[in-house]
Amino acid sequence: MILGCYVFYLLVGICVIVTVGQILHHNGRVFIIDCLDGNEKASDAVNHLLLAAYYLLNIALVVLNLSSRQPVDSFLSAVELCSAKIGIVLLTLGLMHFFNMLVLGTIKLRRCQAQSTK
Amino acid sequence: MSIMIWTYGFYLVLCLAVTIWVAQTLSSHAPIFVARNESEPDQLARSLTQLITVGFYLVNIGIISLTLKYGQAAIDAVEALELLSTKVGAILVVLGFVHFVILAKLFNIRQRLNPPRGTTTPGQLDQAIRKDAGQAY
Repeated sequence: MILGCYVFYLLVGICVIVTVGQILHHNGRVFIIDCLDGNEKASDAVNHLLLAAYYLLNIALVVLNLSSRQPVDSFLSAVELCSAKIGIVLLTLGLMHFFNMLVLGTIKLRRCQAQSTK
Repeated sequence: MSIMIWTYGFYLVLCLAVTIWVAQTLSSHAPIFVARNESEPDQLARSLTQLITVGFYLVNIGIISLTLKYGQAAIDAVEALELLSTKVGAILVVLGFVHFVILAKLFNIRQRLNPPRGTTTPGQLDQAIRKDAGQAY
């Protein structure tokens, strides 16, 4: 029963990470280009670096969070365990994602302010 | 035992339905709101909206599944309905809060991308109100 939970959790976790990573990689490109004032080469480089860091950090989080000492004896407790673990992963991903956007936005704001005071 | 499974099932379906509805609203109306060009959203507006929508889904589905197991286990239908209403209500409050935070951020982004060109004239406002009243009645 708990093996099924682990497998389901890993599958869902890795699918979500890869899907979200591709969406971020594709859409984040324009966002980073805007933050770095049109410098496409630098933006592509930052985008790739962010994608690599993203995969490393998130797959590490998913795998580290796998093991559980909770006894699983029924379908209900299996559902609860899976949903709690998947929930932690999704929430952490979402918060990190918004934090990244905030940092990039702040970089852009600082650059705009530096430009306007020149 | 089976009544808890039904409760969890209804909870997940209801919360996911509302999350998807709010996210669709966000992704269809946010691009034009932050766009530099008033008639058509540009690539930056579309990408920004996609990113915000993805983050919205992640945070909300995370909170929904994380809080699934909390709450006193229900034995009969009455308790199940009470538990369901408490949980769904809490999630709706959280969804509303997250939505407002995103809206506030979108206002900031719009201000930064579209610096104010000048206020709308009273004539423009009158026209907009008359148009809206004409459509309503």
